[in-house]
Amino acid sequence: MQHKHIVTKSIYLPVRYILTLLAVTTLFFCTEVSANASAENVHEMANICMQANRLLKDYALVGMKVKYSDPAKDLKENLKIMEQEFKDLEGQKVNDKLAAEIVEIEKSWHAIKPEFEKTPARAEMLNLRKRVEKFTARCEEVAEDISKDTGIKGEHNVVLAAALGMESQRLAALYLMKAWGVTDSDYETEIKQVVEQTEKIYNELLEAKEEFVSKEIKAKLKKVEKDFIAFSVMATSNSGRFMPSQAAKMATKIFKALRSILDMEQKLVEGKVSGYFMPVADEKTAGEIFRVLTGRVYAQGEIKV
Amino acid sequence: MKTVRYLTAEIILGIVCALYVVPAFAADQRHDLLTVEAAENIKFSSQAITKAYFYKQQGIRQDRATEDLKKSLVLLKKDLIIIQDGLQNASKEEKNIVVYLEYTLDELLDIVDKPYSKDNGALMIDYSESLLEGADFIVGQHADKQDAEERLLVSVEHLLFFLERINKFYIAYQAGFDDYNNVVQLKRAVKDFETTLAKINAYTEYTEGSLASRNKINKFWPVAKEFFVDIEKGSLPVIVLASVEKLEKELKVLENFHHGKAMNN
Repeated sequence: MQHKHIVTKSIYLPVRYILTLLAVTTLFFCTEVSANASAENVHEMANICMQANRLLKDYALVGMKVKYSDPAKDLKENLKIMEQEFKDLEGQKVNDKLAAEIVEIEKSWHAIKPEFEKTPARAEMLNLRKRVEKFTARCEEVAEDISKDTGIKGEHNVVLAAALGMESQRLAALYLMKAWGVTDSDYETEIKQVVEQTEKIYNELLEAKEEFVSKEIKAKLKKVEKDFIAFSVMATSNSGRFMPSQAAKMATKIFKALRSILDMEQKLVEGKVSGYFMPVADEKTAGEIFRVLTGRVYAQGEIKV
Repeated sequence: MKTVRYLTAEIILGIVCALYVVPAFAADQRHDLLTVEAAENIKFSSQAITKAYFYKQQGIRQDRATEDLKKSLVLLKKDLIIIQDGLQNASKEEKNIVVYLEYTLDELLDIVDKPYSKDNGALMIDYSESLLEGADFIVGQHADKQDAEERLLVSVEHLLFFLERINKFYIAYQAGFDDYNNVVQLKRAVKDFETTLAKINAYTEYTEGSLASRNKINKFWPVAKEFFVDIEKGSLPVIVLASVEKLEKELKVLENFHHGKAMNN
């Protein structure tokens, strides 16, 4: 009986150590995740990048008195959405470097924002476009940094889908600025860059492995491609004729389609990640897991001893 | 003897080549001509459709506007098929333009019969501009710019197109589309009409009948122009429509004249 008890004890001791090690490892990952960016942070920053160009598009539409789909109302609502995205980002735990980058983006946005609240003026449009251009370029970099920090495999494709949405709104903003009669010596270079960038993103997404970009997403992307072709025909034309309402409709259509693609992409990529990379546990929850696991080992050890 | 044989062989080879190449060249030219005609028709229809749409919506000569709208849509679809049929050897850019035309026509057909709204009206204006944009590109790709008679025929067709365009922007303005772009485009169309009319005025070989028509156009244009450019002050959609029809009637005489000349060339 005594012998049996010693054997049982010697069997349970290694189990105790293994389980303790497992608990410590789990705690390590959970604690790490709490300092990492979440997928939600990527979405918020990606939305901010997209919204900035969307606001610029609405600014031009209001300025040239185009009433299609009430751009003045959209302008006000999108400004509010932008603020909300920043507020949501403020409450998130990220590492110091990312936190500083987010503050930098927020500050630079708040420097631009008052211009959007004034009555649109043609004389201000070019300067505003250049400021938004600089803002979105940095915004994209930060979104990419956040996506890398999540540690989620394939999250880069989510950022790519968001970038496609941003490029579509940028194309619309540039085109509408020209339609308003604002002369920009960089217009052709910018349009060329948007068209090339869009093609590059398309190729990357369409050639991505199916585990990261599914067949359904690829089919949807191909469908939106027709809208992009139509838009680029309009934007590259030198005829001096403009179709602002059609451009606004196309921009919204592409935006909505890409938002839906983005949702699908997020579900696909972020829904497949392994548990310890998901930001499911904060320090309190991690501590709880540790107690449950160690408690169980300890209790079992005590009973058996 | 050898030289004679070589010569005979070269002649036979030349004939064989000519038999293959000449019909192919002729077919290419025929295809170009058909494509240009179809694209020019689309330019005209694109303006006529939206003009009729707004006259119908505003209840001005409604029955006639409804009939014009229907006819113009049928013609537009037919002309687009002609352009699609000739796409085999087209460049990537031209294929993209045809995608753009198809896309725009689909969007237009989606709203043309829906109840009128400000948003749909705005889109109808833009779709007509998009169809024009695409058709203009196709004309540029295929037009034979070397033929003087054909150029004059195209100029008269442009005058007809400008009138439809002016009338479209005028009636759209009356429907409340008073934005910057529409006023600019109307005034530009008036200016383009005058530049093109100068080319017709430089022509010296008109017959008596066609010369009389040209004179009538020159006499009436300054009067009509005042109605058109007065868009921001006046509201005379019936007078504008009647003026356009009067000018178009005389322009069709010139169109027939130049059509005959271009065919006999």
